Amino acid sequence: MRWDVIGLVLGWTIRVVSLPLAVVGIFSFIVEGQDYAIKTYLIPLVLATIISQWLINKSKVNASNKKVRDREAFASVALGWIPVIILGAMPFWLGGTFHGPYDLISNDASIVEVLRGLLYSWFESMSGFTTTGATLIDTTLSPICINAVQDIDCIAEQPKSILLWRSLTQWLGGIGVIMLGLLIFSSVLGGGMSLARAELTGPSLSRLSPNLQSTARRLWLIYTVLTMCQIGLLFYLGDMSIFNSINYSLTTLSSGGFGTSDGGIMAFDSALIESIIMVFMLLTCINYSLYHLIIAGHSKEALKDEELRGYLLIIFIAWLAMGLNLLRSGNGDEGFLETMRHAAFQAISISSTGYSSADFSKWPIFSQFVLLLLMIVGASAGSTGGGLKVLRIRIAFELAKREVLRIIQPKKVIAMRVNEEPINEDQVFIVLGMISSWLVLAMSSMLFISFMEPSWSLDDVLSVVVSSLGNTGPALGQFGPTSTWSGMSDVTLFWTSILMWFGRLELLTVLVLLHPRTWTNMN
Amino acid sequence: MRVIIAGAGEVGRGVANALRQEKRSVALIDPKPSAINESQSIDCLLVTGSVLSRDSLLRAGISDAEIIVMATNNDEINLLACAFAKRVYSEQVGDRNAAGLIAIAVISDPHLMNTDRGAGPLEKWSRADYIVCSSDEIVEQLAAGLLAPSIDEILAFGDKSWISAVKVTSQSALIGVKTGDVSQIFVDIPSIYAISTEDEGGKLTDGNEIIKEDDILAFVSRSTSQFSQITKGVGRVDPEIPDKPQVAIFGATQFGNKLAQHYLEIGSEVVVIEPNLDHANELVGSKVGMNKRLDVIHGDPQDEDLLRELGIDKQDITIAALNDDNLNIAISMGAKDKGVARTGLLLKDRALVEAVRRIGLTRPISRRLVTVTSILKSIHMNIPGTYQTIPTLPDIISISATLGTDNDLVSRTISDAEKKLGSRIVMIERENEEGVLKVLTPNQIESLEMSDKIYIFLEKTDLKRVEKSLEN
Repeated sequence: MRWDVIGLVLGWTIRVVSLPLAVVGIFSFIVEGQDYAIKTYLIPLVLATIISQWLINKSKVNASNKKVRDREAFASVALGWIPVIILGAMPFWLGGTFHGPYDLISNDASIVEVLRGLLYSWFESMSGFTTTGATLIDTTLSPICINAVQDIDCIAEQPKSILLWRSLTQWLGGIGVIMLGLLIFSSVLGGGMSLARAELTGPSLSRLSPNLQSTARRLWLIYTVLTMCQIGLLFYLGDMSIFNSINYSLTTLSSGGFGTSDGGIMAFDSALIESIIMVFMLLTCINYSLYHLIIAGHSKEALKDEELRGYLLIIFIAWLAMGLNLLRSGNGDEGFLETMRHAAFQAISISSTGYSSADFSKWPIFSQFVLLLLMIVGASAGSTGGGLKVLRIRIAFELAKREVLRIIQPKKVIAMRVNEEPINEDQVFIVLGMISSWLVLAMSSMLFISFMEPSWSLDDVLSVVVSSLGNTGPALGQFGPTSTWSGMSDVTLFWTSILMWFGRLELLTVLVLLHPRTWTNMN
Repeated sequence: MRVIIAGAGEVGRGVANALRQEKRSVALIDPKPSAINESQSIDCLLVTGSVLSRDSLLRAGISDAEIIVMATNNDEINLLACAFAKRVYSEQVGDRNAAGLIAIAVISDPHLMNTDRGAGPLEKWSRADYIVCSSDEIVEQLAAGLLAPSIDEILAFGDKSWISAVKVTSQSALIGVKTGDVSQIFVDIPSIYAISTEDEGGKLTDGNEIIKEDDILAFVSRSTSQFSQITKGVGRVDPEIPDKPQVAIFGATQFGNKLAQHYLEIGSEVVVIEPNLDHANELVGSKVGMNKRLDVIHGDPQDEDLLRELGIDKQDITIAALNDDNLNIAISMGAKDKGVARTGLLLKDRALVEAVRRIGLTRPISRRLVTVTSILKSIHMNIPGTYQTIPTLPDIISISATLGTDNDLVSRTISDAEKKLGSRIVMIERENEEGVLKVLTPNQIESLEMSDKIYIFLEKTDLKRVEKSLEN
C-alpha cells in the first residue's frame, strides 16, 4: 500500500474542504457573531490546517515515482471521505445542533449524550456529503429544539450558518470533493485518471478533454453555472429569499435534498417553485458529459443518448402510473392537476434528490412500490445522482435478454449494445459485479437492521436500506418525507451512514478496502 | 506508353496478361523473387524490388509510364505508393502535378473509403486518381447471378447493367426466330448483341441470324428483372424465388458481411454461420449486426446437426464466403445436396472457378477475376481498350470509349455509327442537363453526342481497326 499517496490525498482533501468551511465561518461571524463563529468553525479549521499540512509534508518526503496502482487509487478515494466527513461533522457537534463538548463543560449533557452527539453529527455530515439528505435534526435530538416549550420548526431554528454548511456539504459531495482535489494535484501524483475513475459516479463518463484537469474544470463550471441559474430563477421568479434560493439550489444540483425547514419544499406549496426545482432535479440527474456535447454543438447526439431517453421514459411512466393510481384510489382529492403535479415531483425527486411535495408515505401501496423501484434505479451514470443507475439496469436487462435467447439458440452470437455501440464483455462483468455487490450488501443490511430494530415494519427496513444505498434521503413507512431518521438505534444509524458511503462511491471503490491485498505491498 | 503494375500476385499478373493482349508495354514490380519467377511467362518487364523504392520505379520506366497500378496485398502501401510514384514521376519528367501519370490504388478493405470511420475520400489525399475496391462488384455479381442460376454467365457491365450469356435449349421458343425479331415474341426481353454457333463461332448479330438449339446468346440488360425473360426465352426454368428470400451465408468475412448487408437491405432474413467467434462478434457488433433480421451463429459450417437445426434445406439461397476455397466448395455442394435451389460461392483461385463452373452445380465467383476486371475498367476510363471479356464467347470483347469533339461518330445515328465501326453499340452513358449521368440503350437515343461514353461489342480480330476509328 502506498501510504504516501493516501497521505497526500487525505491531506489535500482536508485542505480543499477547509476552504468552504472558512467561507461559512466568515458568514457565521457576520450573522451569528464572533463567539459562535470561533467555537463552531475556527477550531475545526485550525485543526484541519495543521493535520493537512502535516500529511502533505510527510507524504512529499516519501513520494516516489512508482506508478499508482488502481487499488491504491480506489483506496485513497474511499479513505479520503473519512476525514471529510469528520471535518464536516464538526460544526454540527461544536455548534450545538447536537450535544457537543461545550455541553459537557457546562454540564448540560452527559458524556454518553456527547458521544451520541458526535455520532449524529457524523451521520448528518455523511448524509450531506453523500448527497443522501436524510436528517436527524428534530425536536428529539437537537438541543436547540429539545427545550422548546411548543412544537417548533426545528431545522429552521438552527443557526443560518449551520443550514448553509449542511447545504454546502451536499453541493461539494455532489460532484465529488476529491474531484476538486484532483484538479489541483493530479499532475503531481501522476495517477490522475485512476483516481477519477474511482471518484466519478457511474460507468459512462468519458473524458471530455485530453487532460483530467481541464475535464474536472469543465465539470465544475457546468455544475456552478447550473447552480447559479437555479438561484436566479428561485429568487426572481419563485419569490424565495436569497438565503433559501442559495440553499435549495445547492441541494438540488447535488441531488441532495436538505431543506431549510422541517417542511422542506412542502412548506412553500408553490407550483412555480416546484416546477423550477423539478427542472433542475432532472437536469442534474442526466450525464454531465451530455452538457459538454451540447456545448460543443452536438445537441442531436446528446439527445439521442439512450440512457437519457431511458431515464426520461422511466420517470414519465412512473409519473403516469402513480398519477393514475392516486386518482383511482381516492388520494386525488386535491384535483387532477394537483395530483399529477405531486406525482411528477415525487417521480423526479425520489430517483436521488429526495425532496417531497407531498407525504408519499401515505400514498397507496402501488405508488409507494413505484417510488421504491425508482430509488433502486436512481439517476443516469455520470450525473450527481445515486442509485444503481439507468445504464447499469439497462445493461443488466440486455444481459438477461441475451441469456434467454441463448437458451433458445445456444450457438447464436448476440451483441449487447448501448447507444448502438456494442458493449465489451469486461464492462458487463463490472456492471454485474456492482449489481451483485449491491444485492449482497442490501440483503445482509436488511437482515442486520431487521434484527437490530424488531419494531420496524417490512417497508421500513426495505426502504431505509434502499434509500441509504441509493443516496435518496427519505424512505417509506415511519421514515417518510415528513419524519426524520431520529427513531433509529445508534448501531442502525451508524450502519446506514456506512451504506450511504458505500452507495456514494459505487460500492466497489469501498469494497476494495476490505480486501487484504489492498493493504499489502505486493503487486 | 507503358503501364506499371506493382504486385505480381494473381491480380497483378491477370491485369498484365490482359494488357499484353492489347499489345501494351507492361512492367511488373514485386519484391518477392518467387512472384517474379511465376510471372516469367508474361512478355513484360519484370523488376524485383519494392514499389516504395525510387530505384525500382526508375527501372520499371516511370518516366515513360502513363498508368501505374498499385495492386500489392497491402492497402496502406498501395495508397502511399500512389503519392510516391507521382513524386518520382514529377522529378523525372518535370511535370509538377504529375498530370501525365494516372495512379490506380487497389484496396481490399472497403471501410478505408468510409468518410466518417475510415480515411475517405482517399482520392483527396493519397494522390490516387482511381481507387479500386471490388468488394461491392463481387457481391453484386454474385447476388445477380443467384437470381437466375440457369443463365450460364452473368457479368456486371457499366453502371447496374448486365451481360448475360446463355445456351439455347431444345425447349426454347426462340428456335427458328431471327435475332432481330426476338423482342416481338417476348416483351421486355433485352436485345441480343452477340451469338456463338457451333459452325461459325462467336460473332456480332445483325438481326438476321436464325437462332438454333445450342447457340450461345449474349444479352445486355439494364436490370436484373429482365433475367427471368431471358431464362424463359431460352427454354430454361429457374425455381421460384420470393421477393425477400431466406439466405444462409457461411463466413462472417468481409464478403460474407457485405452479402449479408445486401440481402438485409432487400428485406431478407439472413443467417450467417461463422466458425471464428471473434469474427462472429465483429459482425454482431457492427452496424449490420443491429438488424433484427440477421442471426449470427458461431459454429462449424460442416456440423450436420447445426445445419439441420438452422434448417439449411429451407433456405432459398446459400452462399459460402469463407476464406478457404476447398471448404467453400464442400459447403456449397453440401447445401445443393440438401436441396437448396440457389447456391453460390466465392473463390480466390481462378482455376478452381473454372472447375466448379464445369461441374455446374453452383455459381462460383472469382474474387481475383472481378478485381482484375475492375482494374481494367479503371484503366480503360482513360485509354480505349478491352472493357469486359465474356468467357463463354471468347471471340467477342467489349470496349468503351468517350467521344471527343472531333470524333467522326458525333451526330451520327446508332445504325450509322455501327456501320462505320463494324461493331455493335450496346450502351451509352450521357450526362443530362443537370449533370447527372444517365445510362441509355441504343433505341433510347437518336444520335450520338459529344462526350457520350459508348460501350461497344466487337469481334476480337477487329480491335485494332475499331480503336483506330475511335481515335479519329
